Amino acid sequence: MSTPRFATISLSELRLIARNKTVLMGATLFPLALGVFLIYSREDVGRGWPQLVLLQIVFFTMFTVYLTITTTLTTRRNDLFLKRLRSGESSDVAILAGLIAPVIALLLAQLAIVAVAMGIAGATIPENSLLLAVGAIGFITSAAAMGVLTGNFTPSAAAAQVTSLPFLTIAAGSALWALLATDWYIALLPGGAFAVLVNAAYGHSAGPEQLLLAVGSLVAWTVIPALIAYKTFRWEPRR
Amino acid sequence: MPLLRPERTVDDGVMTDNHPLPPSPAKHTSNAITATGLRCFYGTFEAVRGVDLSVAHGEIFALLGTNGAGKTTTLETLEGHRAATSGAVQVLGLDPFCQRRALRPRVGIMLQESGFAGDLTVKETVALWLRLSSSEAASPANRARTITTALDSLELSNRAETRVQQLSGGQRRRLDLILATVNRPELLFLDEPTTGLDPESRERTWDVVQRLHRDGTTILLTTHYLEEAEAMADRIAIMHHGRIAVTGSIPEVLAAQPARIRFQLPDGAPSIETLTTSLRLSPQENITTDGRGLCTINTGDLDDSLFRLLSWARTQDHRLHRLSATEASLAEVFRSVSILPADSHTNTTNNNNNNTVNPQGVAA
Repeated sequence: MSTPRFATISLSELRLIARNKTVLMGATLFPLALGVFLIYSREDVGRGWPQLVLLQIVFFTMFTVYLTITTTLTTRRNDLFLKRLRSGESSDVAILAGLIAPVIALLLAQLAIVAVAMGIAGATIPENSLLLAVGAIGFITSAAAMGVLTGNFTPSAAAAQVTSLPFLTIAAGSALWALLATDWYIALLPGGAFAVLVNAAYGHSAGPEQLLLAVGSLVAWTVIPALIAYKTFRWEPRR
Repeated sequence: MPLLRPERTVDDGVMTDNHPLPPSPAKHTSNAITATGLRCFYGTFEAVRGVDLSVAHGEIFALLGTNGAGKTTTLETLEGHRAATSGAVQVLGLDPFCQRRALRPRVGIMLQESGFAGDLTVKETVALWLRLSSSEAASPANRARTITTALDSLELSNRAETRVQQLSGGQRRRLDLILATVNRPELLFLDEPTTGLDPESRERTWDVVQRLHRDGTTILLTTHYLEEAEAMADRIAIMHHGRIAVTGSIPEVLAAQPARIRFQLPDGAPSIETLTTSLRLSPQENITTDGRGLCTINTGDLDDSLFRLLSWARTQDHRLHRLSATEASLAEVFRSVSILPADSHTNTTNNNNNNTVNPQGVAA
């Protein structure tokens, strides 16, 4: 059986990421270095394991998934590579999945490395791993959807440094905010919603309505950007 | 007789003026491409304004026109890259936009601008394209041979391991052509395939295209090189401001444009008005002068007009200096179309310049 088209595109995309030093640094080395630093400085800043898990996943997702998807889509569109792929037999879904899948795979590999490092450093296992998994999946998919959407409105790879700032601030900012405050409305933002679920996974009390709000918020942060991205998606640069 | 016949269509050998043939099931099966009343907007700008077009199976059809005439928009609509705002389009019996996935395995597309991932090598690019294809040539058993043959055919073998971003513009165009043709498509779209190529590469490109054509591939192309269109195409259409102004085979298109007889009247020759009357110019003919005695007769029947002119000169014992008689060229037809106003889609009469005298001898 031949390789599915999305997998063929994914493998090619992985090769391209490996060959582009800027993307490689931004999507692998920088988040890994940050992850190691967060583990190393945990005791100095008095940060608990749930907080560290939250920050690791948030930062990795932002750099590896959100920023990489935004820049990759913008670059491939401007290079007319998206249009080229669409001139062939691949479906739209296969093309997009092929571009996004390697980034997600890269993130999972990075998270696995960091999880091992945290385990060696003595990290505790969450009481409710399912809640952590739901939160992580929700946050990662919302970042992927926002990456595609941001890519739609980003005219060039250089401009991605500006166009990505709003969601970067909202997602990472709300996660950091959730470390300091427990107001219910923090869960309306993606980082805050994920923080609620991480805390709940580690046994911090959270009411069902609070969990529901957090899950609903992550679903909304995924579905709404995905729908807008689908409606506004462009396969070639604006002329 | 008008100089041009806008909105003229030729289908199955029957030419009709200003009355595009209605689509019929029979025609859809006999044509590789049929477009009726095709219109495309970019926001409020209407790029294609009611195009009727048919391309028969096995034909090479060239779409010509000035920059911004709507060629690429028309082509990309037929390729399925964009939806038509209105009108009916059928490509190999399918709607190219709604049935894109069913159509793609049967067509090859060479875009106007190359679209590559610059960090892949030439060989990796062709291999990726083949892995995404379902054709026999792309099967794992044939893939390596197909790549070698394709790179050889357009002399890119020595650049196989070079990253695409390091190729010259001409080499990128040749790689484009490889991707468009490597699956041996039934229908090939070529958007300005030879733009930016040196003469040798152009020749090689046309060799590849002609080989495919001999094997039965239908080809729709756009080009700015009129001599290429004249040499390659079975039929052409010249677009202007989003409409097809002229269409037909090369002889048909040239026949619609008057031939030209030029001569210098000797001193003491009669006035041009007298000459017009003496030559009994028909309403399809006119005579112009550039003010220095060089006369031009525009005629739809070169043989007859030349005979009458020479007979008159012999009878009057006038010697015609600098005499020449030429059929219209495609370049002249193109120029005539390109000066039409944007809202002109009915016929134009006479686009000649100064001192035009119609057959009745009235200066225009």
